[in-house]
Amino acid sequence: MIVRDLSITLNNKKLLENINIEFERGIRVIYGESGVGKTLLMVSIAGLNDFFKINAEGEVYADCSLLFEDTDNQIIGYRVKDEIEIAGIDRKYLGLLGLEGYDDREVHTLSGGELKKLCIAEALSKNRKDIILDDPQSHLDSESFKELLEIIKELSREKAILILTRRPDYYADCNHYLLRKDGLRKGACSFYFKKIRGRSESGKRLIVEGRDITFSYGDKPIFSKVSFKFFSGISIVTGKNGSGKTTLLKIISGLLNYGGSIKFYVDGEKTVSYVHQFPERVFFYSSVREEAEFALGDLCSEILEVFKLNPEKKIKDMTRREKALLAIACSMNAEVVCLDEPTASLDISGVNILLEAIESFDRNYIIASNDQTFVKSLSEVAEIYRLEDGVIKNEGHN
Amino acid sequence: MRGIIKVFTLFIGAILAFLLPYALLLTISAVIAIVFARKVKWKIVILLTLYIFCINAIFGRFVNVDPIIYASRVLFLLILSSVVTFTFSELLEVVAFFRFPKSVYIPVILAYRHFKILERDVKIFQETYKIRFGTLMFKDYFIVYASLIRNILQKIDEVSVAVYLKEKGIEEIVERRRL
Repeated sequence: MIVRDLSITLNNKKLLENINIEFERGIRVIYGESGVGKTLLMVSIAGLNDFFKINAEGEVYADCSLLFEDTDNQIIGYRVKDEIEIAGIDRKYLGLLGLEGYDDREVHTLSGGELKKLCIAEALSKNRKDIILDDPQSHLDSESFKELLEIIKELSREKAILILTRRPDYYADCNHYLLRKDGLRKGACSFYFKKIRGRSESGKRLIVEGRDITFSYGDKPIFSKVSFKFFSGISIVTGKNGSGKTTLLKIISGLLNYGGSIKFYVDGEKTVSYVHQFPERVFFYSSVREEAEFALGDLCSEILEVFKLNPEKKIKDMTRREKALLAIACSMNAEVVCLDEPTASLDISGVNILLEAIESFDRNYIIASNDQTFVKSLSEVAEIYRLEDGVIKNEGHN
Repeated sequence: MRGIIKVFTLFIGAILAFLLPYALLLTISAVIAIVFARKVKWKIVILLTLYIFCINAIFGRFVNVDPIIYASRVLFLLILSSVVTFTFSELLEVVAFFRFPKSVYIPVILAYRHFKILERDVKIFQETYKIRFGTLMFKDYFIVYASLIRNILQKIDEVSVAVYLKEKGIEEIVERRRL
């Protein structure tokens, strides 16, 4: 992969300049904050400038397969087997990533992590010299991510693998480059995650109780007479991709029809809210203020301030991080806030804003997350639950 | 073969909608709707049928049109088309069978993908609206659908990239199925 003096312009605005990348094999990790232009750099190297309406100048010699951050950029089939056939996915990678036997599953029934794995398998299967992966870690559980790193290391003996990420903490062992408007800077990135402390252990009370919950997607049972209890404060639900974390949160939020009963033990005008795992996809208005006022009413200004969001900004001009934070902010008026993989679209500063918000607003949080760094930041105050084979186990503190 | 059968079912259905009397159309629609109750998109079917009925009832007076005839045709066609759906491989089977050129089938696949994203997003939007603001009222659907349209328009480039990157794979499959 050779990139020399690449500069990228979007809507007559110079986004990146003086980008130089040159390597034949191995792994390079480029870290950049949300909105700096990582995805545009990827598509520009891949020669997809016209689709993204960007002007690029400079020399690029690359023969690459791609992993997009958003799976909508990649998947077109209805069933997994369609995708395997069209994209020529190597079954070896499906097996390694735990997607064996998924051929007849409809793509829209896959979990966020499973979708990501399907796209990763596609990117790895192509017989190209270079591979560019845009935030491959997002939505993956820790076991799958470790497996992915092993595969990448193996492939990097023969190929040039460029990883673009907003989360360098996942790639501690790799060569880091910082992406800035004026070029790439070599060197390890320093990053800091806020640690949440200080919520008192005493006075923990029951807030949600589920009894004999039964739920299935068609013929596939997810929960069979499962009972659970969540207590006040922060609860984190972890589990492998496809284990049912999203389903559990949706059941608690009343978005799915289930067997059994769920009881809330909280007061307040609004009992429960839920933030979808792809929050950037769901907005009803065109500006931050309209969206937040509609969702939050009088609390709008206070909550937007904590989330560091500019109320005058248009949603179409926001970065993925800002959109994710806005969606989370709009759910903060409930007593029980269910967040589904809230850090998947956040960079380090976004994660810290979210942690600050969790600390500032005294709500009860039920968070489905496989983000180990985020979970660690909350480990002193959060109860950890593990979802495995349809059973929810309380593992206490980490 | 399923894809071809489905196309012919739709084709015959479209002809029958204009040949059969309205009482028979309503009966057949009711039977299909009962058998495939979960597949029928009731909100769209009822809204559009009512719309056609009302328009014809208002303007039909001037041009001597019976609103129930038009409404029954629309009802039948909508129920039939929401029951007969195509999977991706069935779609490829159809484009291969009719020997559509690439300039036709690539836009068809793009439209199909957009439709599937729209179907998925309808659910996400409705869920988010419901959880933020409570039960969806009739008036709320306008906000939801306006947001959905804006969302799908923003996705045009993304979906185009996905199809572009797989054009070669699609071409090979269509060629294989033609043989």
